[in-house]
Amino acid sequence: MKEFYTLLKKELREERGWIIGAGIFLLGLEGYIFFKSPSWERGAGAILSILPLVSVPLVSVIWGYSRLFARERNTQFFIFSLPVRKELIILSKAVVLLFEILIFTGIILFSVFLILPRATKELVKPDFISFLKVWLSYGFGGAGFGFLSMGAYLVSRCIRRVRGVVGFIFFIISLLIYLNFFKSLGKFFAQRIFYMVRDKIKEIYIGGSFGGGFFIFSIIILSLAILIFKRRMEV
Amino acid sequence: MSILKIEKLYKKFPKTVALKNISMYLTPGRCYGVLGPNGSGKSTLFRLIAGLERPSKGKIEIFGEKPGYETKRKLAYLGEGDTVYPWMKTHDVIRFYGSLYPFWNHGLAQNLVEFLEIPRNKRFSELSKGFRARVKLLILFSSGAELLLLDDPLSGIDPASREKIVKTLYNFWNPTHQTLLVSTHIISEIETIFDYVYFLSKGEIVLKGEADDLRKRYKKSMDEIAREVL
Repeated sequence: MKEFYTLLKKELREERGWIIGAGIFLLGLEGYIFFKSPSWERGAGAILSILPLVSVPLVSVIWGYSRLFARERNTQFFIFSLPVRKELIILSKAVVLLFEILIFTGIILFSVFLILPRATKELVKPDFISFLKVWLSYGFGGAGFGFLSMGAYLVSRCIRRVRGVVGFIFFIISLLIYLNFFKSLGKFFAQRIFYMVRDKIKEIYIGGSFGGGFFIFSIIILSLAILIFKRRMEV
Repeated sequence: MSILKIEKLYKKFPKTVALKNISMYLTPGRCYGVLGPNGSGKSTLFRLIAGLERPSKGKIEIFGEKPGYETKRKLAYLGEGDTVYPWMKTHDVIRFYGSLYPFWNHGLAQNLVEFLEIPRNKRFSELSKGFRARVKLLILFSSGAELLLLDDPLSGIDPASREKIVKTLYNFWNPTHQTLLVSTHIISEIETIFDYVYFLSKGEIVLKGEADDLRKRYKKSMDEIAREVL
């Protein structure tokens, strides 16, 4: 538990700059949409519909690039020489990923509900429980897609352990299989996690999540491609 | 009882064979040197022992076990490059690594901060290369591990820091419960600490033996022997 707590604190500290930067960016974007929209009601709809489209890919960019930079710095490699179980390292990263998604969706939702209580009433009841339900639905839904991609990243790295041409073929096949399953897995998540949200948001969210999920996947593939190219796949 | 036992170890990469037929046997409380030029396979060997890579062939046993979680609790590895998180200040380093190493010595860590003159309020990324090496040494010795792996600790470091590092090795290494395995290509400054040495060239051990015996046999310093055999 102590090890996990230490790793979690480290992960949060590592991502702190990104979280603050991305939070400010999201608020700015929200303000832009708000002032650009012709009516308050359309503004709320636009913000809520753009939320999953923006927040999930944003987290994915952060996640993908921070992994890449961490490897560049050697620290991602070195941490495996410390007396920590690999599962704990992965779990701490997953928890921080979930936290980031919840933070970003929370920022947007909270400010929308605060600024536009009348307009959001059309979409969700203006009480704390409804807010919490929508927030968690957005947050865990986004995290679901994030974890799928994280899983793909780990599987790919494990398969890359098989060296040479055979390893490369296995790697490509695993990516293709995963891509094939991605849509149905996404549907599974969307159908089960968003039952609390009203139909309108549900439709918007499913579309947004797919977009976000695929974006995460692309970032990870890009990161992997660069790592493979640099032959730094030793961990 | 052996601390580290390596038998017929091979490590192959797609285009090169980094290590060929390496066998080593380390007993407790001694300082072992792995000497060789750049590219001789020293770092690969250390990464294998630290559990960061897997052997292509052969066997590694640390305290009678294969490299893994349990062995990592008993060894500390000082790798090449910037292996510490750039945002960490000295107290972050002590807190983070102190929470992960089960036998971390907080008192020793504080003493080492003083001895190594590590600035307390600077981030790791703001330190010079010499001071970064000192921070890594602080982690290594404070870890309380029984097997300490130092991969090229003097490489690319200014003379003042090199002197500090060598002094730390002499003053803070505790042979009663620690075994040192040090790789280097800068031999002259550190050679008197070695009890036993392995000379590595192109991934193979070309010469090995008790340091004093080799000096007597060749009637030369370790540095001069290295120039002759490598």
